[in-house]
Amino acid sequence: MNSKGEKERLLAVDSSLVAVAHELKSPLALIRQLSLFLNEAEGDAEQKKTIEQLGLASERALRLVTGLTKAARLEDAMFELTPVNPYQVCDEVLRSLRPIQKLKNTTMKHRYRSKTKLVVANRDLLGNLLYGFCDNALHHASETYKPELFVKGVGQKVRIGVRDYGPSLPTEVWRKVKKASKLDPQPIGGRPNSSGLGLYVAQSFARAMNSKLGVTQHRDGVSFYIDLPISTQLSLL
Amino acid sequence: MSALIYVVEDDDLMVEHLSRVLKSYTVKTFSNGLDAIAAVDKKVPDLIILDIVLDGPSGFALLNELQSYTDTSNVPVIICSSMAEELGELVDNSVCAVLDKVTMTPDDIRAAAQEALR
Repeated sequence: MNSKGEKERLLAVDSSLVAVAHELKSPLALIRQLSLFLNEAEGDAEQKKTIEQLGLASERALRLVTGLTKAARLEDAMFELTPVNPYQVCDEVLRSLRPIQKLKNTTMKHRYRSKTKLVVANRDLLGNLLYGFCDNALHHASETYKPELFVKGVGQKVRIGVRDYGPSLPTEVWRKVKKASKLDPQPIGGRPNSSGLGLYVAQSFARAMNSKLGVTQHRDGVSFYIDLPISTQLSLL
Repeated sequence: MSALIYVVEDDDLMVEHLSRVLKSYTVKTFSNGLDAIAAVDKKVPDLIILDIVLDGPSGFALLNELQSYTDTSNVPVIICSSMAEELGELVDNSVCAVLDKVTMTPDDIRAAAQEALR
């Protein structure tokens, strides 16, 4: 297929995905609403836990569809890049992950090793992106393997990422994600049951922040990360 | 007597949910803007909870209609939409609150209604 045809095909996939995402938003929001309402009522511990799981599952699905609709608006909407404190964003993400950690009976570790105080990013998009990474990592967490949110300096950039102990992503899925986001394919190992949709959304968010996603394979999992430029705002003072 | 709330929403299950959450009020529901306007003509409610994407005229059309008449221009309106994030500047000061169906909780719905009715 020529490049124009290929581009049209990718755009068509994008728009149908977004249409599906819009359609799914209302029923998913309703499921979440009903689970929250049920949770207000009295019930035994098992019922409460089931309702909580229902709520969190619907929130997870909602995050994916809202991520998709947001990704489609990246071109039109103003997602301003400003100096952002990466530690604050990471702390907020960790705080909002508490219900999932409680339900999974695990914790998310964090390791901050960059002296940099500010990066250039969009706070909302960065938070969404990291939340998705962490949420995914928590689904593969165990007592032995606790995922980790990390921040470290890499040259003139700050790398923010998540060490995930799940199986790797199928090469084909990663290739599709890279292709859809107009980046070069980079083969990595295989993660079953993954469409790569979350990664596609994350990739779009990264692109909107003039950055790109990276992945490091480990013997027992992967690390997904984003490299963000250091803000020079403080050095100008 | 409890306050009268009109809920304009085309999703039956969401209508039922909102009615349950707001059970301490008198709630009347409408699946489209035309029926809601007809009802407003007969009796002006204390609050309207309005979805934006509706069968027929949109929630914005209904909002404009309400603002066109002196007896209805002061009726508090809460927008309740799954597209709240996308609405942005389309929502003006005439709206008391915007509830995002994706992130709101039953407590948020009750609090917004209580605040609007104050």
